[in-house]
Amino acid sequence: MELLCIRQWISGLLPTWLSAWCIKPVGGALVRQEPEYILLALMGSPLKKIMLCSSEKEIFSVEEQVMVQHSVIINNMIEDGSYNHEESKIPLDCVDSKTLKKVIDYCTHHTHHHNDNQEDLEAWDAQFLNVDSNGLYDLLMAANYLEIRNLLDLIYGTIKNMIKGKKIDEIRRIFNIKDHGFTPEEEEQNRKEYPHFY
Amino acid sequence: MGTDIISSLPNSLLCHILSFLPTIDAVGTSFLSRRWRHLWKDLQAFDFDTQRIGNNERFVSFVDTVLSQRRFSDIRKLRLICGAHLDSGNAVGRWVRAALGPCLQEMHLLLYGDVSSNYVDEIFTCASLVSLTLVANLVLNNISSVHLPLLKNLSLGPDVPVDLNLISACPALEYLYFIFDASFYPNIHLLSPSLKRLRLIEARERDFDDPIITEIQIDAPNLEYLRIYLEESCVRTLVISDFPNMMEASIDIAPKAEHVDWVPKLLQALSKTKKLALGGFTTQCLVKAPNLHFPEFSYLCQLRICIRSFNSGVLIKLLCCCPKLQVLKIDNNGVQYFGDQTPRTEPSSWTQPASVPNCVRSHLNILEFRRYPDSLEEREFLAYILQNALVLKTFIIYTNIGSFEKEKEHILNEISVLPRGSSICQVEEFTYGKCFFLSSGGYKGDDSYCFSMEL
Repeated sequence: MELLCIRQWISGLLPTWLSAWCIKPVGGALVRQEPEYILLALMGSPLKKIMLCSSEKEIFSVEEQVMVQHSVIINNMIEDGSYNHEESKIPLDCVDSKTLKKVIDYCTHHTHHHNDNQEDLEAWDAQFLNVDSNGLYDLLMAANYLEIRNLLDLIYGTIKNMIKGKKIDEIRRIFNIKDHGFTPEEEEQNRKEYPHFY
Repeated sequence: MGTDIISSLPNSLLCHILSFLPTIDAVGTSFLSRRWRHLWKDLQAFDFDTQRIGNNERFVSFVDTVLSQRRFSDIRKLRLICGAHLDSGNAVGRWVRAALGPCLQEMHLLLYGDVSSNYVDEIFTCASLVSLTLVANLVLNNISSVHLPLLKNLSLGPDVPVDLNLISACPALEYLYFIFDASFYPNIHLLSPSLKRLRLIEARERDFDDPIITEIQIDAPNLEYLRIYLEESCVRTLVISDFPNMMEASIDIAPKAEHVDWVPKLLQALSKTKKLALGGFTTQCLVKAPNLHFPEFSYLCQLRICIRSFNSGVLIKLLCCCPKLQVLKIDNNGVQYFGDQTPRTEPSSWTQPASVPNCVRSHLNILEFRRYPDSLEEREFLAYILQNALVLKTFIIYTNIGSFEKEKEHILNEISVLPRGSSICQVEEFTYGKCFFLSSGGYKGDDSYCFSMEL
């Protein structure tokens, strides 16, 4: 008797569209799927998905656990309940589709492979950041907006390596600095006085 | 075709990135363009290394200029690698004092030469410090007072005969890296309830009369990572607390010949660790004292063991105490020498164990054998393991660097025909310095020649 009451109670908690799913055809007859298992699946499953919407109005579905682990902003949104699973999507007007997809890739890989050894992860990160300056800038803006600490640090490290130990002309080329803004006299003097930087 | 988009990032962000660079590179960005001209002056983190500048006089002039042109007087981080006496004006003292202040979080000093302690005392009372590195010859060995309530990371270098009680005066200390000359430290007592990571490394030229460290005492119950390297000196006693949180331990200690009582105590204290690496000298005393009691390493997943003279009995005994072992790496150090072609003629001391160790049967995934010689006892041991390791996925073998192709081929042929209990086992063979695939199992090796030297 009690079991029936519990089941009815749980069915009451389910939204109507899901209650409908509790009925499935088995061997020609319509059989009720155990609702408590469906509810438990919804509440406890790490495969719960959330929707992220890019500036181009494209929707990306991603595991909630993955984004919550990496993005402070998304974590806060879900914790304080402002995100409603059934209806909302999180609008990210500052992030375009291409960048959002990359960000999701990064978070997903790092969640699923966090037990890998350091060298493998670093190799993957290096490959991931093998993009041009514009791509890097977009990723930086997105990571900053979503507050993804480890991605930010990774990008800072990449930009740092573009500068470290390199001559001025090379850095200018990498950064696409076409017009340095110095007068010819200033530039010449710099080169003469500090030749080891050039 | 591209635009200079990086330069469009806000000042604070660019300056944050510059703070990760050696200061000379950061200052160099002032020549990139007008936009970058004065950015470096907002830096509050500095990293000066004479290696990039060479000449002492120019180095002093560079550092003085940079520090005088900075916009903010507060310095968060200072890293300095140079001689202790660069000029007659105590330049290093000047710079250290400029950095000391309520905002200083990190100071890393690697100084060559004798250092009088007139600013060292001030360093040890800089209450905001979170990370401190001091590698230098301190002339005076008493640091009069220590007040480092926030210090988490401390690295102390050789020839710093300090009173180690200062460790106890750092209530938040989590990481200690101590490189020392044993002749200054007949006793080492370390007491720290907060310590999580400890590296105790001896760095000394080998003398003919090895000094003996009488006693090492480590009381750090929250330790998660332990690395002890003391092969140059000998230890008489080791007293350590239990380490219930131990994750990874790497031990290279040479005990004084007759004093081995502490070895089982050490193993017992480490019995909760997940990863364990035993160096050559440590295993030597395990081999020499066959009645040593091994505790059960119930959580051990990875064991790396360096054996100077192969002893299968001890290995099997150890394997019986590691029920969950997944990775076993054996380094057969000291058996064969370069170009040594003579096969070992002594009879094998291999005896079949009474029952298969549990880990071999149900957990062992990866087996690695470095410097595999072609001799009887090792081969029998290997055959036994291969036959009984039912879930073995990868077996990596490193032959000796002096081995000729024929010898290697012979070893490989022999091993390939050994019966394997696991159907999915792949064999990979490497020689030090280069590697080649035999299977598509995926390469995950490393080139370190002598693993016990990892610091």
